[in-house]
Amino acid sequence: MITVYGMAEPLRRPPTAAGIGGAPVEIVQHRSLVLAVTTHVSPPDRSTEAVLAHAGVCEDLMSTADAVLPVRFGAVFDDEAALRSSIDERYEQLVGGLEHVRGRLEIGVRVGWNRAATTSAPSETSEAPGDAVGHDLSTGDATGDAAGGRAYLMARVEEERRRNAVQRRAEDLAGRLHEALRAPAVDSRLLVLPTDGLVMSGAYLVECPGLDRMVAQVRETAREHPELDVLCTGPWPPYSFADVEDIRAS
Amino acid sequence: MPADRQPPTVADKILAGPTALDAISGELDSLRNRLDRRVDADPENVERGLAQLVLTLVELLRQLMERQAVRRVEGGSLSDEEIERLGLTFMRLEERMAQLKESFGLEDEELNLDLGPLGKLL
Repeated sequence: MITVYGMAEPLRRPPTAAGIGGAPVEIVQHRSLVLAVTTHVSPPDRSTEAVLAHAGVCEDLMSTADAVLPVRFGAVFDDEAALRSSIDERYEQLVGGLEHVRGRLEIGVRVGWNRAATTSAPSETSEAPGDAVGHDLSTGDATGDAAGGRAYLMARVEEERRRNAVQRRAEDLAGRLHEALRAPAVDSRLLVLPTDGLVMSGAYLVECPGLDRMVAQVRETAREHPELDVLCTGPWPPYSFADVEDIRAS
Repeated sequence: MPADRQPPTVADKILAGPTALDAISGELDSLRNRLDRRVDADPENVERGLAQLVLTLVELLRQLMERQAVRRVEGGSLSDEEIERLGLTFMRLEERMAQLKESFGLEDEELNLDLGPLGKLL
């Protein structure tokens, strides 16, 4: 069985990082593409260590080639022939994908609600613009047990309003931040509210020489928003920009 | 870049950031959850696996219906009596779900499906 880590074009030196389970990384050349692979007897485990080993090989490729397209973790093929035919099916797209990332790196920006600054969860800042609904939705202070059903549903209504208010606030914030952050980038990807704690998670593809400009832009954005936690990571292999149709095991 | 470099550490990869990374470090747990969540094909656990699948779908429907009811309440199209009746129904449904989850030993998080880039089902 063959696990694929990434493809490059061309490599300046053979990869030195070890693959999943310490397996030595081999090179498969197919047409103009160089693929970093390891061979296994059975499909490798999905574990944190395996993910890190996969990332380590991609990082290694990044340091030795100008154009690297990481392959999604977990791509396993029965043999080399299956791998080659899978690549043939989307060869043009892959070459195009490699050209798109040539000489470029990915910078990640995650923006979290700053708990220290807001003291309470953002959902509780009651600027919810839903107060104007004509209906009295406060707790039905009606009589005893009979109010159970109403109280239950009203609590859900409140919850839904809070959720919507958070969603609107995150979309508004993320939109403005992303607009500023993507200025120094060639391409970008944005996720709004990827988890409850994060306003947004953005990926920015930048030219290698433009790295400092990107980081400066992030710092400036962070300064303008002391109410948010802004974390900038990288440089990464262009994981978020390798969205050529999946290379999948046959 | 030098040919013989060491693998990067976490600190190497942080270009700018706050000192407290609470919100962001939560993502690590979500990665672990994704890796750990696989269908358990153990024959002795088939019943639990099936219950998990069925209850996931029931929970999805329950939440969809509840949201629909919430929208109708907000739209003001329900009488007080209807609100009370609907609320009671959903309250009992939720209680019943809690009992079923408990009897099959399932946590809320287990009644969810990770749809990859689309996010979570619930």
